[in-house]
Amino acid sequence: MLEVVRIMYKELYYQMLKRNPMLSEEKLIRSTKKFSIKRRIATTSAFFFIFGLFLGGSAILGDRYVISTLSVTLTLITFVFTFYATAVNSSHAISMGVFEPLKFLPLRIQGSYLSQLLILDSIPCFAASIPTISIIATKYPVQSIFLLLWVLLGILVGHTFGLMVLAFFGVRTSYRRTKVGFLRATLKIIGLILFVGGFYALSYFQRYISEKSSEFAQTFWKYSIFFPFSASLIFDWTKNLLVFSVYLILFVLLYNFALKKVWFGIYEPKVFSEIAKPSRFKAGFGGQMTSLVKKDLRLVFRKVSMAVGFFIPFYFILPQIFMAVKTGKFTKELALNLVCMISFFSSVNADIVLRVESKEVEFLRSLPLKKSDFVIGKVISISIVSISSSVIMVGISSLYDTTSILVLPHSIFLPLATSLLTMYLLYRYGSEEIGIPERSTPKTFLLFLANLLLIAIVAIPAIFSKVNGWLVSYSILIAIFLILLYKIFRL
Amino acid sequence: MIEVKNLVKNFGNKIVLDGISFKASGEIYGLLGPNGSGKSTLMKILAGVIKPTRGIAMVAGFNVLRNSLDVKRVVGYVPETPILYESLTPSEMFDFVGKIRGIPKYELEERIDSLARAFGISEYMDQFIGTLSFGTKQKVSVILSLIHNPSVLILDEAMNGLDARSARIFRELLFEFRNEDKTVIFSTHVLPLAEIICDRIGVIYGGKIIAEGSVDELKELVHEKNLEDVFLKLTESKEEISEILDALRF
Repeated sequence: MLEVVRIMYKELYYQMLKRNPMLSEEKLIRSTKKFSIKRRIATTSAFFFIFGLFLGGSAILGDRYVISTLSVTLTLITFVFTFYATAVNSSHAISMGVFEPLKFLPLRIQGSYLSQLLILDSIPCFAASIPTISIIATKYPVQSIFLLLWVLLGILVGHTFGLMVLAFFGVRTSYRRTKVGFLRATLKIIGLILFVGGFYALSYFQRYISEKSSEFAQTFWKYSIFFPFSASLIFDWTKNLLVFSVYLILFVLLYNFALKKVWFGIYEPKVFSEIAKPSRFKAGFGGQMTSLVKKDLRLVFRKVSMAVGFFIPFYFILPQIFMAVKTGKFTKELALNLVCMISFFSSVNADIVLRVESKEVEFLRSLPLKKSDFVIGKVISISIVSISSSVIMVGISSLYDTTSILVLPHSIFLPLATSLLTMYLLYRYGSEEIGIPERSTPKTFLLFLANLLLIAIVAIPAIFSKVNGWLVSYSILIAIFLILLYKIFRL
Repeated sequence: MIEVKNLVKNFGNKIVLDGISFKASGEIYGLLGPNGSGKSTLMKILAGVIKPTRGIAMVAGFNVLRNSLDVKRVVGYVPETPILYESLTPSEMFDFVGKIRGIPKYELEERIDSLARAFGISEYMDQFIGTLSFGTKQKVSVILSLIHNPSVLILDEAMNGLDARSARIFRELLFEFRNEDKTVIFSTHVLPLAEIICDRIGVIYGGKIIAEGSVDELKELVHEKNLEDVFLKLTESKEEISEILDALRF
């Protein structure tokens, strides 16, 4: 079975490289021949390990509270990464058709192939927790084992959630484009956002009970029992083992259920039969650019599991918005902070809009389409959700603090600038051909860093400069935006 | 008009096209050759999809190396297997390509409607491409190559999967196309079809054009009565086939 998974993984890798215009046929063959799953996992793990070193540093001098918080952070990181990797990669693997050749072979193929294929990309995130676990082990050996178990559970929960998104929100929304189908797809997107927000709702529910209930309830709810906050229980042996065991049993059951459902959907897709009526073709609105963006958004939102990536920033900003609204302290500084956070994730959105192009890149190459137009189209597709959510968020903030309106230019141009920077860094290869550059983990880390730097350059004057700080920030932002736009047009 | 001079394409150390030269103008030019002979690579170069390693290829007066965007504007290309966005409907796909090619809305609607009716896909217009049969996908691919009224058509086994009705309509369209002095490069493995459709044929083998001419000229060249025998003789497969068949008789 491992051999089959290895072949499928290699095929995915090959297809990914094939779309990369920087690789000649010779290099493509050489890289594919040299490809090793172990080496790939080791390289990605090394980056996660380095990232984990920064986190682990605080465990050296940290007290029990710091270590508990670190446990939650590490469990959350593995959970979010595995969730993203499973939901997005599964959709990608299916659209690449890697399972199709297996259907004709005398193999007893089962869901575990899918699971193993997807988990290979999630394993490296475990490396982020190694430094912290090792440091804790020197002071609290038992707690380090608990943390290890919670991190591993984070992988299981993230993987299961990714499979559940695929199982319930589907790979394809419907058989044909209808108004009902559109409504169903919209409901699925709303469902997905609620699904993402579910954790926070539970957490809020717990806090609410803790505030309002009697002494008994307060004692009972003193500890976070909702995943991933439950990882903070590592210093409470009994509760930790109890809550951990409940989650383990629950998610093993859910995992089996979701995997069977997904695998059945892949192996024997539902065949619809309906009477089709001839229809007249009606051209849509807009020109070349609109058409490129419409195409991207259709492809992303019709594979709802792909849309997961678009909603990753919401994981981080929703609780802060919620708290700001609740306390009435929605300042312009917070609004700017949230715009920065949304913009920071443009490389995740870039990954999504590039993944929707698989074998179709060759089709695009047969069209009279310039590389710069293609890239600009992708930039708009990446930024559309970020800009809309930033502008809405600034609008809400200005209801509480009218000066928040100062953040409006940032809410439009900062997500655009980070998207432009991401795409410029990915597409500055020499060839004028349209292609999909490889987005390895090291490269993704570098993109994150580059965006972080851009955000810092723009945001720091607005927050810290005493004289005309906002004007300085606008000027820097517009200058960066124009330079990047110019660079992209010259690609 | 297509003019190819000493065209070379290497993939690493492998020579796929080895100095190919030919001309085609206002005709249906057939490209025949065994699998892996370089037909599809040649067609991709002519469609501006990939670049040659060396040599010159002019399509409708544009150099594929320097003016690939102009080449793509005037060429209609059908790849050997339909490459389409499976989550889009044919209607959305036509709209997308129509907009990329800058076809005015009214013109696009009229053209798509008549082509969709001609190829019998009107009832599939709102169905996701991923759920269509191979033949219907191929029809979508064929329509996509025709929507901008190209002056050159490059068809890589474009008849594959088409039903008899659509194949006949497509064939007639190709004849009309030729009568308008436009050029078609047509590859197929169905030799009787090539015999009916093509005005001239180039046999490509080992990355080279080893014979060229009308069907009658080719028959005369190797003293054979039908195109299949001509092809097998030119590609040195005839005797090999007899030997293989002998070996297979257990």
